[in-house]
Amino acid sequence: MNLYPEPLALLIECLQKLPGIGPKTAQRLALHLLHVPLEEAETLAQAILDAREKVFFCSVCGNLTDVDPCHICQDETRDRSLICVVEWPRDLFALERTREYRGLYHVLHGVLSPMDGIGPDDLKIAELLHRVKDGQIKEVILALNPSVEGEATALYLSQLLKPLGVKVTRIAHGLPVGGELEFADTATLSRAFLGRSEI
Amino acid sequence: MGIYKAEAVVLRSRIYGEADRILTLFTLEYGKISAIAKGVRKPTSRLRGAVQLFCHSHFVLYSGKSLDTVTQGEARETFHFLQNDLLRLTTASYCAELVDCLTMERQPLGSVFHLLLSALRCLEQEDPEVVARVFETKLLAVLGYRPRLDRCVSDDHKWLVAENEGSVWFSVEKGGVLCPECARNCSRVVRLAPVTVRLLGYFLQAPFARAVKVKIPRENLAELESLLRSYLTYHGEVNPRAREFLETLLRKNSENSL
Repeated sequence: MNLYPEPLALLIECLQKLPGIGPKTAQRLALHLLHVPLEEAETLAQAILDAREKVFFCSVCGNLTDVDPCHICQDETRDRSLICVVEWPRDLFALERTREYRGLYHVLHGVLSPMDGIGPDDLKIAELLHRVKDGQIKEVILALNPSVEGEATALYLSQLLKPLGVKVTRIAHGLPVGGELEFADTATLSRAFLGRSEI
Repeated sequence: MGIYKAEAVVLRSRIYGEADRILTLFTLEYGKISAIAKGVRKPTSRLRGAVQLFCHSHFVLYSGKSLDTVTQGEARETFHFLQNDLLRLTTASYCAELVDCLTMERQPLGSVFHLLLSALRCLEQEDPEVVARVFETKLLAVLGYRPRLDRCVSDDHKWLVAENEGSVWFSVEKGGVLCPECARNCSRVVRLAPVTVRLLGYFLQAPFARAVKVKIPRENLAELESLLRSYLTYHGEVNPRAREFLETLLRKNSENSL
């Protein structure tokens, strides 16, 4: 015996496939969508299709974009001698939100992970070296996550980049703003000491 | 089980949801377990340090309906040096992956725990290739796949390897050395240098920290690597991804040093 009419059941099933959406939430969302004005539902459906069709990876930096090269790579007002390397587009978004960094980006699409079989050929490392060899880049900032694999990837990249004559820097590690010394873990504290700067 | 404590090494860490991670821990007390560490991806999390890959930590967990949850954690050894050396990191990943592949959940194996810790500790100073070979050998032995080196594995005759003998016959399938007669009747045998067999025997009985200090000639190391790989593939039925990575790295290293 079917609980829902077929189209509703299909909608709920599709929504359930999304991350973090369980059967109850899927039902709630589906029922909501049944009651909004038709235009709203159509806009949502079309937005999903458009995003899939029109969003792709920038051929230069690997960022998500709908134009090639992406608007960051094309922006003449940005400092074109700086490249900031990140793991994923979501890290790029996080950095862009600060509105402080005015250079270019490069997205690796992951980090080196021996256990998951992700080697240098599976990441956009060759593309990065290509960009640096072109000559305009003076500094490469490594903004990979301070995890075991992120650090190892940063080290690997710096060994490849230094012979090319660019300055290779890593963003600072240490105590987060609003954090407390008392609750910080030993690894963070030792990093914070190592990265101390004169005031 | 409610609340319980466990001393563990973090084998794997996967992102889950918005701020959580699912960990594969190898514990001293309970063997391999999976647990969720909630909120660790946030900067304010107190667990962040203890749940890093390969960290040796003391945890307090709570057993849940599906997955256990980590409620507290304190890092004891972070093996920080691994982040500065891709070869050592890959070797550590390889050892962790072997443990993950060859053990079942909730199978207490204190000896495997101590083996893994020894390997991670030795990786700081010793040759990573030797650490890997010693680890493989001892792990196989502890899991019940100890190769037979003192007698022919086929007819059980005690057969001594003479110093001036050309080579020793070894059957991966049968799991040990063969006397020349049995070797003739056995398909798929490998020839090993006597030194290699002696090294294998030494790795089996010597303490980890001492075994890794042995200086091994390149040919014997290569022979050992090939033998242990066949042995692991056949008896353990494993093909760790980290191994391919390791081989590529070692190949690149030797190319660069030429």
